[in-house]
This record gives sequence, structure tokens and C-alpha cells, in this order.
Amino acid sequence: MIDEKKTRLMTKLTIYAKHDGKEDIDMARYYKADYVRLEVIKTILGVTLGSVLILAIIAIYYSEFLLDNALFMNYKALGKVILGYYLALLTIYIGITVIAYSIKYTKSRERLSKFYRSLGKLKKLEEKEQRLREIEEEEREDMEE
Amino acid sequence: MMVLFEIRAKLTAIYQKYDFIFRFAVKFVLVLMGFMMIRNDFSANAALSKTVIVIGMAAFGSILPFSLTLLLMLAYLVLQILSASSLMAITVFIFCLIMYCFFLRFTPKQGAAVVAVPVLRSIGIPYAVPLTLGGFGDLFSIIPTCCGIFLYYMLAVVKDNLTITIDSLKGNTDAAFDIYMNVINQLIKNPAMYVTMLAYALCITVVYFVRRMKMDYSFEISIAVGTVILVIVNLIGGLKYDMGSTLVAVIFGALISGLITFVVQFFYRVLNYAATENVQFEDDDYYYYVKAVPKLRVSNAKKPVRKVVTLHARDEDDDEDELEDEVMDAVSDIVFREEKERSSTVVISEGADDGLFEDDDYEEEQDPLAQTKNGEKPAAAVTPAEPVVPSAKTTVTKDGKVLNVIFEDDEDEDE
Repeated sequence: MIDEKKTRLMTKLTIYAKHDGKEDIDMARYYKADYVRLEVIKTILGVTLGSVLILAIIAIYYSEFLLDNALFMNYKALGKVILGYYLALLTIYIGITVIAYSIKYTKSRERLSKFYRSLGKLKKLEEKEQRLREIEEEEREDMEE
Repeated sequence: MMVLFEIRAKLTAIYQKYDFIFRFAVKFVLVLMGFMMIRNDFSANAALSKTVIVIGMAAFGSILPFSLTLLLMLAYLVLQILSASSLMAITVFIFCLIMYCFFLRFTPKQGAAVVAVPVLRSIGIPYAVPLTLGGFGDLFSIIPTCCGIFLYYMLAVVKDNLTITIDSLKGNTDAAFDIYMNVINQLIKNPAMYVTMLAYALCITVVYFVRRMKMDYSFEISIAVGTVILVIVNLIGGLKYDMGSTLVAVIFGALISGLITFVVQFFYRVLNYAATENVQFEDDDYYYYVKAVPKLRVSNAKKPVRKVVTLHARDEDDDEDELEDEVMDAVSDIVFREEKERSSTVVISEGADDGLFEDDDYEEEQDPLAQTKNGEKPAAAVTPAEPVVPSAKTTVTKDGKVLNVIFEDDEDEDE
């Protein structure tokens, strides 16, 4: 006979493994701090690349002015302003990344814990099934004797 | 109204049968519209502009995750523009890269909004996107929506400047700089774009918060408020800047978009069947081929709740009130609801004997092809299921009216 309870459990476990499970199990390879750190590094790279591109667009936009005043410009002050904007942007993005990915990791762990609890239940059901089989087997042998 | 419910029930049944095809078709139509829009505006490359190529790329894009579909569309766009003007192609690529680095990286699952905004704007119903995202999504959807608006205006600017090529600017550096500055000015210093972004962001935020309020008809009110906000912001923006659309077009577009969102909401339960799962697994005895269908639930907002009904009939009218009071005291904690309010609730009447059973989240149909390892049919072989079998659990008579009622549980309260 098909065990409804077991089938339900196995179905839910399979559905989870098919969707969120993949990402959650990948995520579980890291400690929370490591995972968030990795995402922060990705954010730093993304923001840096984006900032460089924006800077290039601005530089080309003002290139006429830059060429005309190349000898008289205060590069130190300009560098400080650019660095200030970059660091401010980076700080905001890192803050958002830390908060968002910490929440994401916590939720993922909750789902994964539920998954492992369900696996435990499934294991118990299978053990119970196994015991019942053994009892039936013994009874059959007794009957035959 | 009942006719609409019947249509919805029929659509649900059809959708259950062909859910994969339906999902593919919807995505294909959206992606195809995106590709067609690009082709119509930038048909610079003859080979890429062939209808067969466009349909083929749309079909291929439909089977990919949306993030990769976006990448495919971007590649197609850049290649088309590259054939006309490499300067414009580089500009588009750089701006798309900036959008990805700063925004889209954080919302990879909402890439559809980036495509939907320009596509729906081009067919005159642009406001369906913020209304739908506010009604069914979250606040993060503001990011891809604003990216979509930027993409729309950027493509308009690129289209206007498509004749500028690097070759035509050779030897004339001053002209090149002027044109470059003009393009950037058109892109960045575009108040209509910022007003549109503000309108969409405001609409998504207000719709999101209003529909979450605990009050009757919160969803309907939120859509109405969102529509009014879109119109007002566009009107105010239109007083000062050229928004590129007339007053009639704004109001008409907003009303149509609001209507579309209502229709989407009505059929949402059908669309939500996208969550139907076909899974395969095995244990020591069987291979399982299971189709798990999520239970349909109607939100509580519009459901009248009846407290108590009579448990047995009495002929004497004079005793009726007294009897009701008695029953009220006895079962005051039990809440009944009219079954017809949950006409979409699925109850499998035959239970496990047919291989059909259900729990709080899913009904499960076991595939009749389920085989044992030896290739024989298992003892509990199942028959093909007709999944939607509405059935009442209890029938109660009150004041001569027959009510089909079911118990309300905690889970439904939460919905």
C-alpha cells in the first residue's frame, strides 16, 4: 500500500529541493559571516565597475574643459571629491548588502532546518515501515512453522 | 458575477491541464513583443531583422531564466544598433552595464519588469506595470521598474541619434564632442523620465501599503488610489514639462491599466496555478510520479462570516429564536462560512481510494503510470484524476435556505 503521509512528505521535500533547496544548500556551505562577506566583495566589485564607467562618461562629457584646463587643475582636490563620492556610495551599498543578505541567509537557514526536520520525520517513517515489515516477516515464518 | 466565477473555474481546469504550455506562451508573447519592438525601431542589420530569426530568438529566450532572456535581448539590441552606429551601441552597452552593477544585480528575479515597461509603453498601457507590481509584488520592484523606464527613454534617444557613426565624425573632433554631449544631455537631463519614475515609484509604494491594510476591498481601493496617483503626478509633470503624451492618453491609459489589473486580480488564482508541481522520486517499493496542485484560497477581505446556524429543525416558528440562542451558546466558537464564497476551493471527494489525497498546502495526484521496480502496477494503482471536484462538507438548513458550509481554520485566517 502507498503510505499517504510518506508520499506527502517526500513530495514536499522534492519540491523544496527542486526550487529553494538548491540555493539554500549552496548557501549552507558558508557560515553567515563568510556568505555576507562574499556578497560584500561582489558589491564592491560591482560598485567599483559602475563608478569607473560613470566617471568615464563624465570625463568624456567634460573632456573639452579638462583639456583646456589640464595644466591649471587642482588634481588633489578633484581626487578627494571623486574618492569622497565613491566611498559614500560604497558605504551605502555595503550597508544595504549586509542587511539584505543577512536576512536572506537567515531565512534560508530556517527553510533548510525545516527541510532537515522533515527528512528526520521521513527517516522515522521508514524505520517504522521497516519494523512492521520485519514483524510481518516473523509472523509469516511462525505461521509456516 | 456567477458567470465570471464559472469562467474562472473552467479556466482553472484548463490551466491545470496545460500549465507548462500556458506559462511558456505568456513568456513567449512578452519576449516576442520585446524583440519585435527592438526590430521595428532598430532594424539596421538585415540578417537579424528577419522574422524567422526574431521568432526563433523569442522562442529560445522563453525557455531561459528571465535574467538570461534579458541578456539575450540586450545582445540583440546592441548588435542591431552596432550595425547602424557603433558609438550608440557602446553608449547603450555602457548604460546597461551601469544599470546592472548598481541595481539589477540585486533583483535578478524581477527582470520581466525591465522588459515589460518599454513593451507596454509602446502599446499604450504603461501603467499596468506599476499597478500590477504594487498589487502583487514588493517594494523592491521599484528598482527594475525604474530601470525599465530608463531603458525606454534611452532607446528613444538612441533612435533619434542612430545616424551618428564614428566614421561620420572622423576628423571633426569638436562636432563629435558636441554630439556626444547632446546625447548625454538628452539621456540624463530628461525631466519627463524622472517624473515618470517618481509616478511609478509612488504608485507602487502606495498600492503596496494600501492593499496590505486590514480593511474590506483593500486591493480594489489600492488599485483605484494607484491609478489616481499616476494620473495626478503625470498631470502635474505635464504642466511643467513635455511628458510626451496628451491628457486624454494619460487618463485613458491609466483607466485601461487599472482595469487590466482588476482582471489580473480576478484571475490571479488561476495564474497562481503556476505553482503546480510535477515531481518524481522513489522509495524502496515504488517510483512516484506526483502532480501536486496548490490549494486555491480566496482572501478574507470580502467573505462574510456567519457565526452560528441551527443544528436541527423545529416546526414551531415561536421556538426558533430560542433555539438559535441555545445553539449560539453551545457552539459560539465555531465559525461557519458559506461554501459558495469559496467556490474555487477544491475538495477531493473520493479520498485516498482513488490515489488522491490532500493536505493543507497541496492536493496530490499520483500518476496512473506509477510502476513498481519490477515494472508491475502497484497494488494501490491510481486512476487519472479530475482534480477540481467542488463539494460541500456539510449542509445546514436555516430559514428555509440551504447552506453548504465548511469550517474556517487558522490557516485561512492568515491568508
